[in-house]
Order: sequence, then C-alpha cells, then structure tokens
Amino acid sequence: MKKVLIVDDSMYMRTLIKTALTATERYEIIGQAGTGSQGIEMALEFEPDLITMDNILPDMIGIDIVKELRAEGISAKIIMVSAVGQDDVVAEGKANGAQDYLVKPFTAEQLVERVDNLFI
Amino acid sequence: MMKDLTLKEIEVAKKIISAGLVKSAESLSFFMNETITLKDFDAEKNIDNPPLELGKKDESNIHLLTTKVIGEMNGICCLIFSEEEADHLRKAALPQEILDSPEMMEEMSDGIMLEVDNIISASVITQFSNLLKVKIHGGVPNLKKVTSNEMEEFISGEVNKELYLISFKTSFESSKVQFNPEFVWLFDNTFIESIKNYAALEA
Repeated sequence: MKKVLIVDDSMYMRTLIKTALTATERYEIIGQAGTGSQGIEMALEFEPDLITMDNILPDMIGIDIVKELRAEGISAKIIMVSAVGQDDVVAEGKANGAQDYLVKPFTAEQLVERVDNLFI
Repeated sequence: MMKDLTLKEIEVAKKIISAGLVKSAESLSFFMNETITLKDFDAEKNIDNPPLELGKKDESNIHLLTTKVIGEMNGICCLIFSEEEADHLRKAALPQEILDSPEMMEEMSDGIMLEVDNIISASVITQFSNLLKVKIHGGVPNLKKVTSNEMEEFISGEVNKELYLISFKTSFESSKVQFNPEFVWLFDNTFIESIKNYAALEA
C-alpha cells in the first residue's frame, strides 16, 4: 500500500481525502497536517509515497511548501488539492515540483483517478 | 464607482461578475447534490455603492462566512446563511455516518461551512483572476455566528473603512427547498481599474 500524508487546514477536506483513498485499499494515510510547518515535519519524519497538498494554509502557501520539500530531498509524489484554480497558479505548482494539481470541488472518483495516475 | 465606467466598461463588468457568480452557483450545486441557480441576478440593480440592503432581517445565529481577497486587488467575500439554510447545507453535503455521530458533527459542523465558503470564494476569485489578469487569491475563510444587526454592522464597518467602493449581492435558489443564502462582495477601486484595462484590451 502506498503511504499518504494529507496536508490541508480543513478537517472536512482531510476527512474527504482520507475516506476516498482508504476505500480503495491501495492507500494508507500515515499522517494528517493542518499547517504547512506540520506538513513539512511529517513529510521528513514519515517519508510518504504521496502528499496531498492544499495551497492556502494558515502559515504557508502550498507551493512554497512543495519547494521546501524538494529542497530537502523529499521525493514523494505531490498532488496539489486546492480551491485556488488560476491557470498561472496551477502551472507554478507543477513547475515547482508537484506532479499534478486538482482544483476543488471534486468527487472522490476524480481524486482517486488522479492519484492512481501518479503511480502508473 | 460604477458611474466612473463607460457603458462598454459596465457591460464588461456585468459579464465578468456574472461569470464569477455562475461559477459560485456551480460550486454550491456540488455540495448540495442538486442544481443551484442564481436568483434573478440583475447586474444593473445589484451592483451598487454600499450600503446594501441585506436580507435575513430579524434573524439570529446567522452564519456569516468571510474570505479576504489578497493580492493585486483587495476585497472581501461574504457568504451569508440563516441557521436553517446552514443546516440544510450540512445535511446535503455531509455523509450520513457523520450526520449520525454527535461527536463527528461537533467537529465537522463548522468545518463544512468553512470549506463551502473556501470553494465558492475561490471559484469566483479564479474567474476574476483569469479574466482580469490580476494575481489574487482568497485567504483562510472565517465563520462568525451573528445576529442580523451584527452582520450589518460588520459589513458597514468594512464599507466605512473606505476601502470598499463597489459591492454586488445576489442570492441562490434551489429547486427543492427554500434556500437563499446571500452573497456579497466588496472590492476596492482596483476592481474598477482592472475592468477598465480589460475593456481597453477588448476594444
């Protein structure tokens, strides 16, 4: 099973993502972070295979977290999962180390499909 | 204000605002699992100088959700639900296992409202940002439960800071039940400048 770290300040979204991914029995949630700094700490400690990353967190912007994780040598697949959907922001996320960018709202099926595609 | 715009610029403003509001209705439809439309949005009537006439009079426990617009344009988005409308949204959007659990409901009850505001604000902001070519995004949403007087005081307070010179208001409509949350946006003058720039490029 792939190990997943969820980084999102919304408890509702963390629950939605966890429920969608664990239902497949292909993914195991090994951590949930509500802030950017917590997300970085958990990524370094748990070395997940996948990180789902919100873009607007109380303490940091998701794209900056992605840059910091890559600078630290974290090789996890990263899918940004955010309500911020501007074309330039999506492009910036992918240019700085995220493999994909999923704009909210989305269904559980859409999330699973995009995550599965990262491991093909 | 709108009177500072030419007729062409006003048409552009209406088009952009309507595009944003349609997106917001689509996002709300997603959460409600049914089609939500805008209730007779009349751009001419509903884009105006503050003060606004807000509904939900004589109500308490109004859910006032606010998200600041951050970046090259300043503003604030307010999404306003009555307690009954908020309950209706929770029942439509939350899975049954959460609705059946008092402990989970206590944790998720406000969380779902914040996420709804997050997504709706962002859907409008994305439209504005892409169309007007301005770098903006929404901040972290905030929820206050207020009386109608407190709500009006809050919005009047924002207006009185003299930062917010344009506002528009609409309400949503469900085919199934009485569901009319209100949607109020307040922007500073950079919105007007952005409209002028966009209209000039379209010429």
